[in-house]
Amino acid sequence: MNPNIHLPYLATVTGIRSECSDTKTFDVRIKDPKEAKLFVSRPGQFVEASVFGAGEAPFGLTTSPREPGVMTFTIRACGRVTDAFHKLAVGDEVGIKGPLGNSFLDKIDSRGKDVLVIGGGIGLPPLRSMIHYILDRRADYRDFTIIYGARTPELQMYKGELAQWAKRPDLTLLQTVDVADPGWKGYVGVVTTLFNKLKLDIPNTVVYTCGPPIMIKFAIVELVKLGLPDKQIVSTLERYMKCGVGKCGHCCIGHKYVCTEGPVFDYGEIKGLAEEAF
Amino acid sequence: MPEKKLYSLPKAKVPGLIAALLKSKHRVWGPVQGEHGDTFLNELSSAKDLCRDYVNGFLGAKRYVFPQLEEMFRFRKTGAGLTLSPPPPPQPTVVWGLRSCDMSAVLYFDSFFGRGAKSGPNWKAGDPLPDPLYVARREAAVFVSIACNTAGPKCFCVCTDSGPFLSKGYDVQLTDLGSHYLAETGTAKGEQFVAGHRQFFGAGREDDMKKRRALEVQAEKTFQEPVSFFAKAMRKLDRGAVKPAFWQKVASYCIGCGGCIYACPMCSCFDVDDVKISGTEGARVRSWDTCDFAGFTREVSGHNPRATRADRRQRWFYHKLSMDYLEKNPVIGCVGCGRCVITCPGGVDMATVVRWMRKVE
Ligand code: SF4
Ligand code: FES
Repeated sequence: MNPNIHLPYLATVTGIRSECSDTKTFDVRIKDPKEAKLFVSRPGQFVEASVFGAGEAPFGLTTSPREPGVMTFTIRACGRVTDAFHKLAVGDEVGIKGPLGNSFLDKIDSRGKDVLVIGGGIGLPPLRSMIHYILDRRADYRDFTIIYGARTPELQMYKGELAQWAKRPDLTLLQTVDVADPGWKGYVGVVTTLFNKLKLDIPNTVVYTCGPPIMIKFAIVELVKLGLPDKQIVSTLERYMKCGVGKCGHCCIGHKYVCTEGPVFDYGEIKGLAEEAF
Repeated sequence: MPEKKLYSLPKAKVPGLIAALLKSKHRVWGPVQGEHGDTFLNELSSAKDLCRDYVNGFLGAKRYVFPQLEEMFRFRKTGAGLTLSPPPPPQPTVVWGLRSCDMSAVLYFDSFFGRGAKSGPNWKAGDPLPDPLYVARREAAVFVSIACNTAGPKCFCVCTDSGPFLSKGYDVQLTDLGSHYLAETGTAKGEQFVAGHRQFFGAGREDDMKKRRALEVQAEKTFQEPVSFFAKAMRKLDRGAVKPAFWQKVASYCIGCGGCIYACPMCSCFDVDDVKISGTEGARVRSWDTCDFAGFTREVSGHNPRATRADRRQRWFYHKLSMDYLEKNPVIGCVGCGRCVITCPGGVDMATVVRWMRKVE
């Protein structure tokens, strides 16, 4: 992270892939090799990315960092900055502040335990960094299950990668959509309807979740009913952010700054907040 | 910190001192009087601008340490790609005649924006980060505060431990003793400042210090705004005794103008935007923002975690008065300057709400 917290690193877009009608994934590399070396992220962290002239917005990093200074994030076009990103081409220059925030690794240690990942819609991208992290060290973890819900099959992220995960013997992938299309082979319904398909070893399971607030809220309600302790439910929280570095005040929930003390919280911390998190 | 030293500064020498500072390429901020009679802290262009007959200006030292609008950096498109340049370092500055409450607010800003924070590879999630713009301006300036012999009509700094006299934190503290000021230095920087302008200062006298102590006792009797007992209000807030209906009542008087927040010397939230300067150049700027505006937390989906004015009023008081924040910050979020009391068209300022909160059953 740059010691001048407001100054981004200059970076180049090295790859752009379309995920669905309104969402694209960007590969980005920090230009200056010395600055690139300082950029080493951990799963769950995010960046503030700029298109100069349009502004800056926070995006979760979607890959487990295998090389410093290189990153991937996924952006849905839904506002001034995100629209500007969608107009970029490979080779264009952007600004990157980060890596920012904490990591899934800062919460309960899930090594030697079962891991359940629950993602909804565009909540999969930040979880994917943790999924990669676990797959890179698969032997350290026990059973690994991913539940992924999307509104329609077309709106799923990373379709090619989902197909690969579905084939892996060391990972169970349950996919569901709200509204199916004729070719759909997965489940239909919200993510919580799949919970009865799981055989959870309650004391030895850690859940990571990210998605629309309403999904997280209901998923947590169900997990608590199943007896999962607060510390074993780990979620990301989201707020409108302006600076990403703990200064602008926009992201606070109660006394916590989501940008510097989050975005990853366990349910114990979430319950202790003076404002509703979802 | 060297031991505190005493000097005297004849009032007649102040214009000369200010003129000398301006001549030696210092910027000088001090209280000025606007055309309608209101006072506020502003940059002086000559010693004549300085207004000496005031209690507290409407806008305080926040205007210097955290300007309402400022550039964070510029970006330029060149043939070889983009270049970014942070703003040039600020010129040496003297902030003259800020009141004790405003000095206390600067000390609070030090803990939030200042050097207390770390950055770089050892930074851990949750560690505060120093704000380079703030640090540069803070370190470029000498703060010469002035103690209050008489409180203003809406002041309540006795309740927040931030006035009317300070015992530390200032670079130099002045006390008005009639024809001259007693000047106490509180930091090495303050000491250097006096040493560098020694021709304007006389020797300090122990009996001036005695007079100053008597004035402090006297000053504490001049408060008109009965707001003490923050502790009782804070305890009620912390215990959950202050219910949603309370905030609905507060909100029903609030018109959502954000005036209390802009005027507050401790409010520090800002918005960030990119502005165009020319076809090839632009700047990222920040400007004061307020948690009182619905757009402050409204997300792109339309979801707003603080959708009602009551949510937002509750937020402001929670940030300033909760134990959760007191654990994070060295002080509560109010220095008792009374500006929100003067500003609020609905009369739901800090003083009033603390009074109401204290009475909550
Ligand atoms: S000054 Fe009064 S009316 Fe304006 S936002 Fe503050 S509380 Fe509301
Ligand atoms: S986004 Fe600015 S304080 Fe968190």
